[in-house]
Amino acid sequence: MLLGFDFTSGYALLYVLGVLVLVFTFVGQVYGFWGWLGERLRGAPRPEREASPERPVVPPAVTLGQIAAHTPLTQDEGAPHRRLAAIRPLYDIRNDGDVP
Amino acid sequence: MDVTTGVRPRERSEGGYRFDWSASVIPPHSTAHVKDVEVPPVMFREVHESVAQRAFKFWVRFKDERGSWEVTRDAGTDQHEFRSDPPPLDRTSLNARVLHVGEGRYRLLIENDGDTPVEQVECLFSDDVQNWSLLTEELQTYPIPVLEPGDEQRIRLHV
Repeated sequence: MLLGFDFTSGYALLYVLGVLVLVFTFVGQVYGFWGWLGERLRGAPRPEREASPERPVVPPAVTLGQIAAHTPLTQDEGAPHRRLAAIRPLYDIRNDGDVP
Repeated sequence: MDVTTGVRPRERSEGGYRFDWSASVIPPHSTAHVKDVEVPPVMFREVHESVAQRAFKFWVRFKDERGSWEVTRDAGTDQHEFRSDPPPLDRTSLNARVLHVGEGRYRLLIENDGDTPVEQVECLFSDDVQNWSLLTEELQTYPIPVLEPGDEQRIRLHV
């Protein structure tokens, strides 16, 4: 016997469930009240801003013209083969845009 | 505005060498000609003459009202690539200092602490240094043919 209730009786489960319902209801009310109070103090939360859609990057209208290169050869003394002495490229940089 | 150009190996997507060429501005609908520039020898020492025309990417960097840009043309595929806010180019840096390694014994330490190989490295002392002698005959070849990034060479120094 505890608090005048016989825990060995068939109503024990109902009794425990009833207590749990009361506890959870109380906790829920307190939690709700806390949220309501915080909202009153801080103001209503702002609606989330819509993410602005990413604008595609438009590449500048600049290109390199056809690349050529002058490639003179040299031969070291005693070496069996010639080798590249230099690479001197030639190309254009073209601005087809409307801005400098 | 502030147009510069240069070269990098095809297998690389960034870095590279900047030619001694620049233009303050290229007006709209006009062309600037890049000539009298040379690819540094260290970049084509492994390149055969038969592929020399196609072994590189050429880039141009400039600024417009939207920011910094790099346009690259691959000479092998003739494809262009565009990139905004490109990363910095390779840095060339060679450092030399004297190490005291014992009683009256010194070494000159030369180290490549840059991002690019350095070729034909030779040491020259200023005129006011007359009692230093560098024992370069102990090296297999001198000038030092190449120092790769991170490489170092120690040479005995007689003072």
